[in-house]
Amino acid sequence: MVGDIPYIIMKNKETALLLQQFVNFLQLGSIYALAAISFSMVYGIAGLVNFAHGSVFTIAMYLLFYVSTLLFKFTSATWGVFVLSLMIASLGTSIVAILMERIAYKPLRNAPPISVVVSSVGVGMLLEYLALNFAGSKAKRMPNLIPDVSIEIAGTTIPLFKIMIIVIAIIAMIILSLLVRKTQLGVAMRAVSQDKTAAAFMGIDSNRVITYSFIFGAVLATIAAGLYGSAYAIFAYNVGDTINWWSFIAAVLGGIGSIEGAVLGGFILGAINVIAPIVLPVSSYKDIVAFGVLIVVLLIKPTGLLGKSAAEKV
Amino acid sequence: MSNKAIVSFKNVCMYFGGVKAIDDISFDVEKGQVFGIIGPNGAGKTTIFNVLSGIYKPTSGDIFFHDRRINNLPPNYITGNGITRTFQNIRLFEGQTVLDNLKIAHYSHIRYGIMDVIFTSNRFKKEEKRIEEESLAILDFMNLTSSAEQKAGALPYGAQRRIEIARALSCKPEVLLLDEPAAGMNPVEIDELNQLILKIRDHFNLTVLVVEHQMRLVMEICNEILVTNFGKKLTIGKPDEIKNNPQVLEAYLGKVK
Amino acid sequence: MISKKKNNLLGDVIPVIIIAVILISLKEFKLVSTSRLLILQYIGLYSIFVLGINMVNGYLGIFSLAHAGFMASGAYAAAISSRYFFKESWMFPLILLFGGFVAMVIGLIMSIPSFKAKGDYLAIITLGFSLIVQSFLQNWRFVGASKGINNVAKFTNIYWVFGCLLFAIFIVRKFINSKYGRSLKAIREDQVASELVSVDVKRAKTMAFAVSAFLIGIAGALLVHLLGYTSPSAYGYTNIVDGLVMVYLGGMGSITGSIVGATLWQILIQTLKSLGTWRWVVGGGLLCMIMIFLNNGLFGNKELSDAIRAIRYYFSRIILKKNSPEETRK
Repeated sequence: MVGDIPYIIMKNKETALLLQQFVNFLQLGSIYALAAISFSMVYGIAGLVNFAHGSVFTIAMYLLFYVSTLLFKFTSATWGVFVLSLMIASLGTSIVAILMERIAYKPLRNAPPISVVVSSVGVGMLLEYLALNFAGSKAKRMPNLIPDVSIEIAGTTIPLFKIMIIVIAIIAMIILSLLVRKTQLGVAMRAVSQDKTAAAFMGIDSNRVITYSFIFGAVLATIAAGLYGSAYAIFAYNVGDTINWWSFIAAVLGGIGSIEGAVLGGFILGAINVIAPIVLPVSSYKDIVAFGVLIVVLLIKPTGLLGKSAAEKV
Repeated sequence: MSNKAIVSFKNVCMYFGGVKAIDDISFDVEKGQVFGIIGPNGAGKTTIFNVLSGIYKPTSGDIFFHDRRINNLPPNYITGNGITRTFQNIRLFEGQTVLDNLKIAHYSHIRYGIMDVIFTSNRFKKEEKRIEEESLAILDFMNLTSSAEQKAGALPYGAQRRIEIARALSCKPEVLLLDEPAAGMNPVEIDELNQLILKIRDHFNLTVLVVEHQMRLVMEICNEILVTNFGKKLTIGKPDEIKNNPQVLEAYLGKVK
Repeated sequence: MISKKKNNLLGDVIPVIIIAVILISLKEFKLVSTSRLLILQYIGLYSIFVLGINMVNGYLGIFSLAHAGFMASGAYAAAISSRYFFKESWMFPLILLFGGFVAMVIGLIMSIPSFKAKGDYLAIITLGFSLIVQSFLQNWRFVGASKGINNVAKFTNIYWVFGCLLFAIFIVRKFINSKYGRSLKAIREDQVASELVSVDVKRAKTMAFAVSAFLIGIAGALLVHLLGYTSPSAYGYTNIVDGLVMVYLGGMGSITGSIVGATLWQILIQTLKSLGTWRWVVGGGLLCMIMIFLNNGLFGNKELSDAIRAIRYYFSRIILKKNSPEETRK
């Protein structure tokens, strides 16, 4: 995944290598951060670890693939296709997320918390294998969604898509944090995440807010999928598993429910992903490193790096 | 610290961030006493119980039990070795039967290991029989025999309060901590509770610490009373002294002008 | 006391004899086809698997996803041991125990995060553990990396499977009816209150994970020697969901429920085999439906013996009513 061949043309070998790894780190970190926020968002507001979230990501990938392939038949305006297919895919995943919430989670709102989590494991399985059955198990190749050009920075040539991924991710994060901080919906979301009952007494319709959090989560996952598809074109039906797993770790590492935490966690994982293969003999042992970091953090601070530690009242 | 003291606090402080839940509190409890802790809401009464039973580690200061420092011991160890408590808001194992609630609390003094369990050794049978008998004896003492096989969560409030005390007694404590045992009771029920507390103390040879708002209980049965306000020790003394202490009146009723 | 003991003996020994007779007649007199016999073996070994999961997810009430990792470690340890050390068929008990013990050691380690981390965080740690075990096996050349181990001796037969199942039921029952089992149920309801009535929470959790992993490890060892091969792909997400469906279908915290859950799900899966990958769609959907409509599973935390007792009580009431209609009126 990370070991993709960087087509950075090296002029000064040392700086070029460093710069190239740094860009890789930023690119991966921002994708993880975005995925982690989308996951964390639902957790923070609906109070649910959504194990089906990876499947939303998978569906986003397939929608992007089919829609953009179709659009490229009519036009070759890459940016236009990118934006349009992102919008259509977001609509699709939002519908899936809303249905998921209505059918599988809402009836369980008063059940023991474990039931919802188990239910989400079931939904995840269902969606993933639906995708497999409809799209087949053969890997697909995402068309180029970002124009294939390169730019030169500090004497090193870097492909445009790497920069654009970082820029788009950062813009998405800024828009999201403005939404949460400044709008009325954002205030309602924060209220529901802190205390559903109290929010209800203040006249906030928590069901509506929860639905919005699922929509936000789905849209963010779609954007993350678009960026992921631009970075690593090849994907198959189980693409969501990996990304979900990494965004889980990122969100938990930073503290579930905290947007800043998700970003921090995402970039820490990006760093692990870039550094571990250089240091370790087998590149896939990076999973184990990430897992080790997670365990150590949770043992020291059970609610993650930026999570609020809630002391139990006796 | 006098030699007779069974529990003593030495300059104990417990801070949560900037909040001083307990601020420099010292006191000694003598064996066999009923020791009351009173104070307005938020005065740190329950926090005293929480640090004593090991849920919180005090920020500074020392807690002694029989001259042994117990600050850093885990709660289950403290509970198993002589200091047991009840809760302000009842915390029974509601899905279990009353008898099982008591059996669970026998944990620390059941002497068998995993091998005894797998091979159903004589020791296992003997111990299981012993705790069953002891639990039934405690239930009998607390007038709960008839509900032994019922689910604890299905019983009325008053019974649940008594079950909680019975469960605490199953740990074989030397010191029993009661956290607002009279909450929500009427005067008649409080009088009964007073008798029960004294009866338990004498029968099981206990020292009782009680946090309470109800003056009817505190003034009636306590040998000594600690008054706290805003986490600080206000005064300590016999019920009669407390009753007439102007500082205490001020804490409760506001300044008399 | 004596009559009670006799009753226990009747209750325990007679079903065992009946099961043994049925199994012998099924296998030796070929009353059912080989494929049916195979399904029966799946049912038996997955019952052990589910009993193991139930120890942590049911009795202790922790949402753990570590079972795929435990099963993988048990299966691989057993396969390695039968390939290099215990090559004879009479050594099969040693192989099973070895698989169980390796899984148990890993289970002991996995209990450490459960001391402090709670709920969702623990679910993610345990999921991570399972996926790590899988990715570790995929990269380990010695065990064939992603191709897995082939040509494992097929030692497992129906007697071993059901022998192990009886052993598992025996262990779980003993454990649950001891102070350890009681403390598990207490922790499930209120961990803080348990600590404050002297329950050693860490020890109870360690033991639950150890017993759980041990049983799951044995199930893994049986599975490898039944199929004759194993590969890392068998211990991924599908295996995790498989285990969860069976546990929550049967009911958390019930031995009877574990066996019923495993039986129903295995029969369903074998019947749906023609659906190919669609059966996972059905499986996922079913898991949701169980949670929505059957919150406590088929058995909840009740046992078959509870049901029998209730029926007996019901009939005794009817008889009483017939004999003395006056008395029941009040």
